[in-house]
Amino acid sequence: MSNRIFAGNPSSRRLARVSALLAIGLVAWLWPAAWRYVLPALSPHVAVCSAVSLRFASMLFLLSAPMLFLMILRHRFWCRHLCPVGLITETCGKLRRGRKVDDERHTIGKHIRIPSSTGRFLALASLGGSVVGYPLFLWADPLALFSGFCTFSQASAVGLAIVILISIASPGLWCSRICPLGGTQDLMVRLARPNTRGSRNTEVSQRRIFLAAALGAVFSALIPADVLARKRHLRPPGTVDETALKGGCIRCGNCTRSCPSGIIEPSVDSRDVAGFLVPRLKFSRTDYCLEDCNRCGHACPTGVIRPLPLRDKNRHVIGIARIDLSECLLTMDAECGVCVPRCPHGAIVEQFSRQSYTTTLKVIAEKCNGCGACVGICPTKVVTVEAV
Amino acid sequence: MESLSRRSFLRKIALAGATALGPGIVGAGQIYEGSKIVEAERVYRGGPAIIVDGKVIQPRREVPVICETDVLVVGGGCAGVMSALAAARTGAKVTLVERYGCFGGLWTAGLVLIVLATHVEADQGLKKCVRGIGDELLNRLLKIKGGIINQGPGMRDPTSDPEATKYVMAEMLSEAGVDILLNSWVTNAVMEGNSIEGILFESKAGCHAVKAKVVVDASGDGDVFGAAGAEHVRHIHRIGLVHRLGNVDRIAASKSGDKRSSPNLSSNTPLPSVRWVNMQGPQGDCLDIRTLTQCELDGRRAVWEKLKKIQQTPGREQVFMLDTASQLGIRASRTLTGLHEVTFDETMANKKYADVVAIGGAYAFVGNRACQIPYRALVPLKIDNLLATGRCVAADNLMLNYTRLIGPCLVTGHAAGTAAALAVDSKCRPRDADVAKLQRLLKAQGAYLG
Repeated sequence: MSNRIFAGNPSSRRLARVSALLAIGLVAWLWPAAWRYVLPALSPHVAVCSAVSLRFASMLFLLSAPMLFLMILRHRFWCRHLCPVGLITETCGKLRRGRKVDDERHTIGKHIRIPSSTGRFLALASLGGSVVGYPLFLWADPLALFSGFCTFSQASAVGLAIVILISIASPGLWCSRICPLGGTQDLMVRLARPNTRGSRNTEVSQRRIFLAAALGAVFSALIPADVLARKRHLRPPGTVDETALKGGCIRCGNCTRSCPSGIIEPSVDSRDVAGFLVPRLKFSRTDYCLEDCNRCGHACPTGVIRPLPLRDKNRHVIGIARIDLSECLLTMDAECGVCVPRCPHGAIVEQFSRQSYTTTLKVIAEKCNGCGACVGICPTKVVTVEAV
Repeated sequence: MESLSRRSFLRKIALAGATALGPGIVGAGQIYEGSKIVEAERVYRGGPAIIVDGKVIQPRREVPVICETDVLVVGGGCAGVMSALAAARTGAKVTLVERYGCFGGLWTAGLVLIVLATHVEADQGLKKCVRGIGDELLNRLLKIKGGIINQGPGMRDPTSDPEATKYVMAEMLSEAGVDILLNSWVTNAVMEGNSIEGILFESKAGCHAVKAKVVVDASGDGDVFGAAGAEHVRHIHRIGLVHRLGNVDRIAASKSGDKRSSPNLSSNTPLPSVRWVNMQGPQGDCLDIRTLTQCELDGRRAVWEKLKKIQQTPGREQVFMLDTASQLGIRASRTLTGLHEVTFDETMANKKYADVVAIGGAYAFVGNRACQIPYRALVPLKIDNLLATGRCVAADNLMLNYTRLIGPCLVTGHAAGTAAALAVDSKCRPRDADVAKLQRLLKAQGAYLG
């Protein structure tokens, strides 16, 4: 059973999935604000692991409850009838001519055999890792991949592209054996209804469960702290510390979509591999982190960007503005100083010296939250926000 | 007024005024003209102020009307001169009241000199935004030797000579037949309900009124709309005192040593041996007389201290102080609360206004972008027969750093003048003026409206 993930009437399944996709589209059309954020939050795999790793659950956590019940009641119903990634992989699997739908493979290429418990292992390792604060494979959640694919220009299509390649090479392999959300379902059914057919097919010993989780925890703990904690980029307001962010972020792109200024982008930086596709801020001439917005925190399904109230969000320090006074027009007695009225927090002040009768600019560290309003307006580009 | 009941106060005022009902006259009488004594022009003060219960009370009296006009322009700075010229050329009878003895305001008396935001960079080189009367003025300066630099094809943001500018402005105003009142400081508005009917100004001849159908406030500080009770925003900004240095061509470069450690001699002017030096100065309320006084005193001292250092630098001993500005560099004081406010966000979004009447060129913080200013930014919310122009048009506290530049002031000045004349001609309030017709007129006068 577990290997026959695409068993049953293929056309009715396809109908269900396409309808599900259309339903998503319809919701998107009717209720554009909400649909963009809910998809990754539906996954119990994401919800549980991120809640454990952050010791915190946002309101979006509740969105995973329906799927949790569905999983327990109807094992793998989600995979067969609703999952958008399932639709993609199944379609891709049929690309090769002469291949039957249920012709599932268990190897990548000819030799690399993927054990049927891989998905369960990934889910457990993520859970184990999240106990020590770094959920290892959270990013591999199919809903996160699909959501990320919908958001990011090129970068995060990578994850879904790999899934597609796997599906073309070995149809059904991703869904039946690798998918951590699938693995989570197997585990949930075993836990909640130990004697049903689905659970018997996904038998895993207690020892193995413990081992997988322990392995995830140990591995997470072993990742050199400085690799994860090194802050290279400015993060959205309210983000948890770098380590938790890099582990807990599922790269779903909700924050990118939610940002009205469009300043949140997935990071692609060869010097920050652990932070691949983790959101970072990039200020432009007019766009900065608005003082009346905290949408990214409320859109984050994992809570790595905390849903702070507006007041607290504005107090969260993204970074601190630095002005290179050697190139600052005002300091050179030229007409400027526009960063002063631009700053929504009154953090940049003119400092007049009666002695030299010159004016220079100063950033008041206690008032600056690194929103970046000053960055774009500077005509000589000497204002930057530095991570702290 | 706690010690004075309203009734007794009014009685005392009436007593004080009784001596001077009708145009109040002090110093009327005789005057020496050479060896002869002749009848003198009257000085209208309405009698001296008096002390009533320890309070200084101004006499209540009728103010003589020196003239009645169609369009009254208050302030002879770059925006005011443009307004007066535009209104006169559109066919209105124009009076221009200026507090100093020359035209140009901060451009000339304030020694700002550089005309910023005149062009934008386009695909085929530079595109001129400041056209029409402003450009005509700049081109006339070009005909004067040492009148202007960086003006002409392929050049932008010219720097003019202040004396040449004063002269050309006066010539242009005379040619256009504008009635000019110099050395006249506008002190108050004359109102009838929500409608401005004229202004009061003080001069050596005392207090006079000018009655007008439309008043253009080109005072920079918004003195007229401030007095008329129009809604406005006040600003604290830097107050500088700029100066010019002479003999900079006698600097022996070989002796001056390390360039970076030597004092900054700022930018070129049309005069070969003269450089112009900017000053930021302290932030202050430009409507506070103690602040202004202190800025004059401190600024002058600072400029001289700076010069001493320059003169002590080897090779620069010959540098001298040519002049300091006759008026402080006031950057912002009041801005009108208009029917529409020019905002940074709209400007950055390249907002196009259906009622655009002025377009300025590129400038540092707005980038390479032609910035539109709508007619509504010149029109007060409530007060009728009044238009604002120049530095005090409706702009947010970022964009006022753009609208205060000479380039934008030239174009808003032109727009306000033509609009005022159009309103007079159509016998309507400026707020009801036909904007499409205004735009046609402006275009016919050479203005660039996109």
